[in-house]
Amino acid sequence: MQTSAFRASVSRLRWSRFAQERLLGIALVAPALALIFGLVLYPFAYSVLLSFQSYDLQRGLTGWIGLASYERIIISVDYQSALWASVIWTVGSISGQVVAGLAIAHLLNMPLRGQGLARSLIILPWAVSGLVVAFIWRWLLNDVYGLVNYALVSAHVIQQPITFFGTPTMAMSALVVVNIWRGIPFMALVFLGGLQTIPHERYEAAKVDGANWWQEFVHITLPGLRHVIIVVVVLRTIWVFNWFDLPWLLTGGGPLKSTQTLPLLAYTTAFRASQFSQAAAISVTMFLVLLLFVIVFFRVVREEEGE
Amino acid sequence: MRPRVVVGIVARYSLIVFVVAAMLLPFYWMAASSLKQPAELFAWPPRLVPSSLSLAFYEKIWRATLFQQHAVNSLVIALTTTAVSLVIGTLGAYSLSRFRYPGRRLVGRLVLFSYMFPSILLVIPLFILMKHLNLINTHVGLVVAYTTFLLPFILWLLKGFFDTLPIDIEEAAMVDGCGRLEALYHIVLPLASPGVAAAAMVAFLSAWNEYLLAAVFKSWTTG
Repeated sequence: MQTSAFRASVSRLRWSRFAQERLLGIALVAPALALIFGLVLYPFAYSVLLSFQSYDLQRGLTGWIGLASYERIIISVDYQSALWASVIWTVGSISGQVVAGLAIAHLLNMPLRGQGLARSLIILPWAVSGLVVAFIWRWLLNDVYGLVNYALVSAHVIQQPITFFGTPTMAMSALVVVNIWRGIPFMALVFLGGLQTIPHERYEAAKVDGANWWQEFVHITLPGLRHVIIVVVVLRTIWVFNWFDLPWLLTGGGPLKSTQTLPLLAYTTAFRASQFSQAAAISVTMFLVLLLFVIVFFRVVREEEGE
Repeated sequence: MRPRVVVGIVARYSLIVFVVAAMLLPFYWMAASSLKQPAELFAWPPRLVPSSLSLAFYEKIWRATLFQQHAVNSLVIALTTTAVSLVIGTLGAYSLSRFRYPGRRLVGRLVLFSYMFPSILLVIPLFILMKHLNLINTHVGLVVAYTTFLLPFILWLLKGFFDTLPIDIEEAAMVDGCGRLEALYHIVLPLASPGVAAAAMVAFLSAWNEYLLAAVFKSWTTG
């Protein structure tokens, strides 16, 4: 028989065990949270505050200047051309990667021998760092000794070797093409996974109805891949827009700053010109551009779904 | 087989070979160039296959540059980052997966949200912070920064993995007197080893390949 005192002490024991569990759970996640708050969220907030103040390397933050940094950067030619360069770089890379990725995913989905091998081999451009990609292609696109120029001239596609890094158009084109090459494996493999979730019956039913491959693509494949495409496009756009390594290492922002994207501008503003407040302002505008992109993108997507 | 079908199959195989070659050829070219005799590197027309192999370039970087020290730096930093981020990440992911406390779901979302932050946005204040803490151009500074950038992904990956492991085994062990942490160590980790291995690979490669932070933290000392 249980007395009320006994029951009370049992429930107290259970309660303290319960509380102990909770504390342990919080304790286990605390280091991770501390780091994330300290080195991600706090710096982000600091960046925003920094963009509204002046900063000196010796003395630190030296006073509120309001929107002065933002005014300076927005009217500067460097910022405007960097913004434009970023847009071309991002839009070009993503559209190329999506189109090529879709095509290659289809190819890899076909029932042919050696697909497993092909699927694992193509991952290489994605697996290596931006630095490796940059240096491989700088050597390939060299205007005197590069293999690409040699191949193009031998095939009589062009008469003279192209100085890929000598003119703004060629440099940006080269940059975008290299980034497409680099991003294809990820896109292709993600789309391949998506393709494999589309039920076969739909294609068979379409064939019975006499659909050709284009109709199959538009009415079965694309809707089936819709969610995958949306997620991948959003994440990759954010990532490509913010990426520093490849433009910096492939072209250095040249020639004449034509390939200087916003991350590169922020970097040189901070660490070459020591204008930390303006650099912070540039970074904040980058974040705002991406935020705007995400909002507009999802609004467009939701409208389509509503129809 | 009808000729049309054969052409179709040949076309498909050719396309796949072409795609694979396009992805791999640049790497072959890099490897072949590195193994050429120095004089042959600038030969015109360029030779696809080196006429004779030579380790001259490898010898040069090994002897005549700071390669050894830099390689050691990279290795030490990448390994340390992997170890630290795995420990903190595993404990944190286990907590997010198995425990109940207020704000747990919010933490999960916050973690995923911070994953989307661009490095360049954080690099400037990180630089200022590290300078303040005197951690510029130290291994510690980079390891701490890399760990922090890796944590959201590792937490998300391992939490998902732990979620798929049935809780019964742990509960059975705890009935037998095992504590929570011992259950984690003896039971959950062995079962989760594929996920942990994947997280370890991602951590190592991310730290090894990282450029911006390392360049920024280094640039300060050389002016």
